[in-house]
Amino acid sequence: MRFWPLVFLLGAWGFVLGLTVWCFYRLLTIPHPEHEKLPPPGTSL
Amino acid sequence: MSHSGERERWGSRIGLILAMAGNAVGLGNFLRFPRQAVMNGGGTFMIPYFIAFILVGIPLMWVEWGIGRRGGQHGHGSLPGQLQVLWKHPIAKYLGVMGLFNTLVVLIYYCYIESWTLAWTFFSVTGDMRGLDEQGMKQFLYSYQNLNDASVHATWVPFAFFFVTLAINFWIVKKGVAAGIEKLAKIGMPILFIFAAILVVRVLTLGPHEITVDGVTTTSSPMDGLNFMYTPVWSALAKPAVWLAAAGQIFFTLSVGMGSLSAYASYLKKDDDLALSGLATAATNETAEVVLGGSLAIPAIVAFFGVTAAITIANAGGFDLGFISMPLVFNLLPGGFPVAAAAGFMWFSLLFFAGITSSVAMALPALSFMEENFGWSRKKSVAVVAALAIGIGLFHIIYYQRGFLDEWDYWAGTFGLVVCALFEVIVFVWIFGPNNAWDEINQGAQMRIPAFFKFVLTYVTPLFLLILMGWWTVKEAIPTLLMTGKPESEHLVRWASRAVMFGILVLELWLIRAAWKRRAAEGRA
Repeated sequence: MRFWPLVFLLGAWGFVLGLTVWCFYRLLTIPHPEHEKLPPPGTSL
Repeated sequence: MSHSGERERWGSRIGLILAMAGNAVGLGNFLRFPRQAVMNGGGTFMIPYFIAFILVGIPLMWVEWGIGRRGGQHGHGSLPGQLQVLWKHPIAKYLGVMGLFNTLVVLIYYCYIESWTLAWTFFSVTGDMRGLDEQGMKQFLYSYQNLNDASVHATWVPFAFFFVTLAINFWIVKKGVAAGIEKLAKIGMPILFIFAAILVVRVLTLGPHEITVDGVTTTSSPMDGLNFMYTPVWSALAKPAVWLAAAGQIFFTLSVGMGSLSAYASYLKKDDDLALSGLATAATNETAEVVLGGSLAIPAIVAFFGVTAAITIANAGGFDLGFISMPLVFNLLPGGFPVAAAAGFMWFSLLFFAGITSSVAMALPALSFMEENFGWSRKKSVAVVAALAIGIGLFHIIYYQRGFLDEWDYWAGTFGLVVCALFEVIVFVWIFGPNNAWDEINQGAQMRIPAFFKFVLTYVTPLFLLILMGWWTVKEAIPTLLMTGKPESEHLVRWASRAVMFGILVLELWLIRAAWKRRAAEGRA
């Protein structure tokens, strides 16, 4: 590929793939607030 | 789903995001985006495209999720009730008619287009397109679209595929949000991505081909296609039309301004995150569009037919690109019929999944509206809306060649989206209040939204929408209304098409009025 098309392709792909990976990484690693609110085992509600 | 019962919920978070992404990823990701990029400056198109994504796409995604989640807490799965929750003025619910109108109107004609993808999936494996040249492939499509031309397809064939497509759609929505729509997304979206990825790898690993144009033989490869698509045309950045084309593409691709995203979001709980989930949905859609959609049709066509032919094909429209040129490319792939059949099967079934994961979303607002406001069962609402879709859909099949579908695609599927998005932003941000809107979006958020988005939401996004609407009104809406350049023979059908659309709008306004009267009588208003 030529230089400028390659720059634009890599820029576009990098932006969308980077954003997608970042979003899913956070979704999968951050616990859902509902789970955080659960009381410890054995605690009466 | 009945107003007396507990609202249904999404089964899982990943299911919700796949369903939302499926809602956004549609035929346009693979057929419209490459054409827009090629026709609006190549690589430089990406600059206004991503700016519009950040200033219009992502904020509108959050706005629709916010409207939907809040409306859902009050038992509203469609835009009339959702806007009424945000703004107590009686007119609010009537502004929400756009969320019912756009989704129902687009659903009906979109299912017809979707049925083509189902038909072409079938034709790919039966070998009906085996060995066809360009003229044969055109005839194959045009005979399907024109009932008076039975040279290839019998008259009943388009009807049969349309009915099957509608039946699948309504069968899925009848099963409900978690058991139907979410399950479809969990199956359909991975298939779509896997098939697209396989095809991208195959296309990009094609070797150079010799092409003879006007007696001159040159070689062309998929890399020439990517060069062609991403070569910057710097002067394009000075053209307002390019910026508006980019904003328009962002609109279509994210399915904002439709009313279907807010319908999906109404099944969230009050503290469910929407900031990160909405962003993930938008990002997934962009990956499908830019990485996969941008690497398939144009590079494949340039590899086999050269840049000049690709320009001609792109100018002819997305359908020619998808239903004529791509099967031609598959017929030329090394490996003969089995490879052509497999590639055709993957291409058209990925389009089918892209289509159906969007169309089921469009069916939901009308169903929710009837169930929540008139106490209808899911079975009854599905039966009535399906009957309406079949009845009106027949006109699209019969009068496709005379512009019946074009009218709907413009007034509901293009102009209507901007009108609806503008209503949503005005009500959610300006009337509900920028602070309240910001708090709503940040409620339960699992990411910190940069503060400048509050400014973007309040001023930039509405301004962008107003400019877009003004531009489209002058450049497109008025000429479309006056049927400029359309043959006299189409005028009657086009006016009839508008009359049917107008009838749907009036019916929906009347239903909103009746629904709130009923609510008032029941003490639920």
